Amino acid sequence: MAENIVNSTGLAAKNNKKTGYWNKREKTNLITAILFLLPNIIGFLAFTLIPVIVSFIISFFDWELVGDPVFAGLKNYYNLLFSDRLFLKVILNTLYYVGSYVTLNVIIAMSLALWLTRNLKGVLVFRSVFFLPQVMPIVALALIWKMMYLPKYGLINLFLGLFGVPDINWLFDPRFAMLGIVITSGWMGFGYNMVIFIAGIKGIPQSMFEAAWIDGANKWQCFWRITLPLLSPSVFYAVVMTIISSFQVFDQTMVMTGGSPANSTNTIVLYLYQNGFQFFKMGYASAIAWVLFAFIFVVTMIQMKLQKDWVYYE
Amino acid sequence: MKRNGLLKKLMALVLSAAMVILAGCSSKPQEAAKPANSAAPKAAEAAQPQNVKLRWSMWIGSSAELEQWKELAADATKKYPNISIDIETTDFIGYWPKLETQFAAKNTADIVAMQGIRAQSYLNKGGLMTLTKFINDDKNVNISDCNQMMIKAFSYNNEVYAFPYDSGPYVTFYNIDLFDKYKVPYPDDNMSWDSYLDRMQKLTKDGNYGVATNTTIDHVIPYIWSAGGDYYDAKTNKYTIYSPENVKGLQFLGDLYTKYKVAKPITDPGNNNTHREQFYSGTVGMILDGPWFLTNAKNNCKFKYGIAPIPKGPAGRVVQVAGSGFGVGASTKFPKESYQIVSSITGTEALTKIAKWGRGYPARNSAVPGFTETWKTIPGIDSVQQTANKDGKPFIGPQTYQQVTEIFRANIEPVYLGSETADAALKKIQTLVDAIK
Repeated sequence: MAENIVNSTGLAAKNNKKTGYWNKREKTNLITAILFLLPNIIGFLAFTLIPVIVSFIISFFDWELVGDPVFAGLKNYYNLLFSDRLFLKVILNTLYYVGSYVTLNVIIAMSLALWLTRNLKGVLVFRSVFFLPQVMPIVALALIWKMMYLPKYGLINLFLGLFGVPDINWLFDPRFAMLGIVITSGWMGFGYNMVIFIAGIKGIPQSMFEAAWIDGANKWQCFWRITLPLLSPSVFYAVVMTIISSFQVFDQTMVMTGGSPANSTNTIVLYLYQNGFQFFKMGYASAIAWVLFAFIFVVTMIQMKLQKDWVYYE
Repeated sequence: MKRNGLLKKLMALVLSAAMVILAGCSSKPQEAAKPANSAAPKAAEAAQPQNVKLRWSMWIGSSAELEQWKELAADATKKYPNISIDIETTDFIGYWPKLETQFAAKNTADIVAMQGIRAQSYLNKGGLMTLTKFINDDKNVNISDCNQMMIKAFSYNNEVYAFPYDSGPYVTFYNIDLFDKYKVPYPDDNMSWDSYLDRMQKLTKDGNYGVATNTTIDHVIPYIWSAGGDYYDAKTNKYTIYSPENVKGLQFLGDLYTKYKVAKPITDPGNNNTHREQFYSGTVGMILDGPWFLTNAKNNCKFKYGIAPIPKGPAGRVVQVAGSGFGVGASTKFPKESYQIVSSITGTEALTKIAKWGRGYPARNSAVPGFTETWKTIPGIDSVQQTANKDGKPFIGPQTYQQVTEIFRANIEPVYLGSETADAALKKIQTLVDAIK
């Protein structure tokens, strides 16, 4: 019995030198643990893991949802990557979106975080207000912005008109439609990163700034030499997560333009939706999903490799 | 101690089960009530019809339309008190993907709304149930009273699968007040593209425009057909999108936007109601739409409006006649009851109501008087029947129609923006359409 070493969870298989078997209590505890994990595991299997595996399998078939899947080998991937000119445009649109949105988001979030970590009155109010768009449904916000972009009577054009800018038909002009969506998304999404940066800035010890100030550093130098480097882990996290999620943009493009005009706002997930649920090419849509996964994977791996070049961990 | 362990396990199991069930739960319409005694002899069953609850799926464009269908459902229930009906609605664009997924899951409604143009692709795959057996047993159905073109659209292998409720051509709706304001002659039977353009130019001032359209293929078809072209050749089962006549038709439409600037700029490309919304605002002189628009025009147009045939193109006036109807879903558990409801909501009384509401031009000759009586005050209302008889051409949609309309929509937008000619756009569309399997 003395050799029956039991650790805190009751799992002692490796420690039990006497018999190598678990005793009754350890077994019970193990079963209980598994039962409590079961809801999460079942949910994960049913709604995440199994659909992911099935979609991978479907990507090698032609299937129109009705009728039987027909094996197609690598045809879907081949067509997608080498003969679908629209997909090339869709990728470029998505890259444009990701590049501009992430930049806009991080800059706004950083600026506001710097501003809101000073000792101002009512800072908490501002933080809540700036975070508000994050808790509101994207579709509702997108529809409101859609109205704001209307020519002549929309708020954006009225505002720009004050500076003499001529009317722009934002969402039907191929030059401006994607830009409009980027601006809307920036407004909707900066709150989360702002909160992360605020937490990061608060974590910088005041003594750093005092030492710098004594050495004669000005505000700008403080920012570039102290704040930003010490904040770089947060920035890295924010950039990586924002890139991953922005590659999957769908709600705004679906609701505001549906990919119009002339497919200038068609993004990868919207294109996936069109192929899967409007044309019922399930195999092709699944292939798009996995190509997107590969994209995001490669981009994230590159960023992970680069992080030692610019992220400063204390 | 033993009990405690058992209790813990039991709790965990119950929790797992509850969470999985709740997570997978979705709102489903109520299941039909089970018959009281399923072993009852056939005689008793025939004497006392079982209580059933049927699902009826339909698209709507406004809450007024939903009320109309609810009224027809109530009438049907009065006639067959053992049947109660649950209406499931979606917007028009969302209806078709939903129908496909329901069809794949063998979960279609009992009564399924179907468009004439899309019917063949569903009948091909066995989406609806054949009604032949019920029609033969039903003495009152009177199929010859129905619009025969629609019956044909809903037939497959000589069997009828759905009954139509409406069928109407595209016509021109025009804003009488705006025409009067600028003293422009109303559209008439002789209006050619030149005089159409002339009227639009006279209307385009002070922020008003001559015409509004949307980016769907439906609005391009009157122009390409009237120019002598067609998007599809039924004999060869091929899409014939790139042709000189089609280019002429699309270019005329595109020029309205870019060269003459008489078409109101599109601001809401994904919305197929955008031309109507512009019309309601009173700033647009004319739009193309069908008699099903009357019900919304009545509720939303705060000005006098009239109807005229569409303009005559270089090849005359050719316009699509579109219609919809109801069929019985192939996976229904109550085919007989579903048929009863379908025949009721497409019967003379129901279609007379539909005609009076302006929800459509009725697909039964016996209901037409209801239409002409109610709408006789609308100037030019006769154009509807005349156009259907003289210049109407059935609107056929082959198998891959859904995808083609999407490709069309995305690729004609540059024509409206002026960044591409109709020639280049149609050539591109033809290549893309040919690439579809």
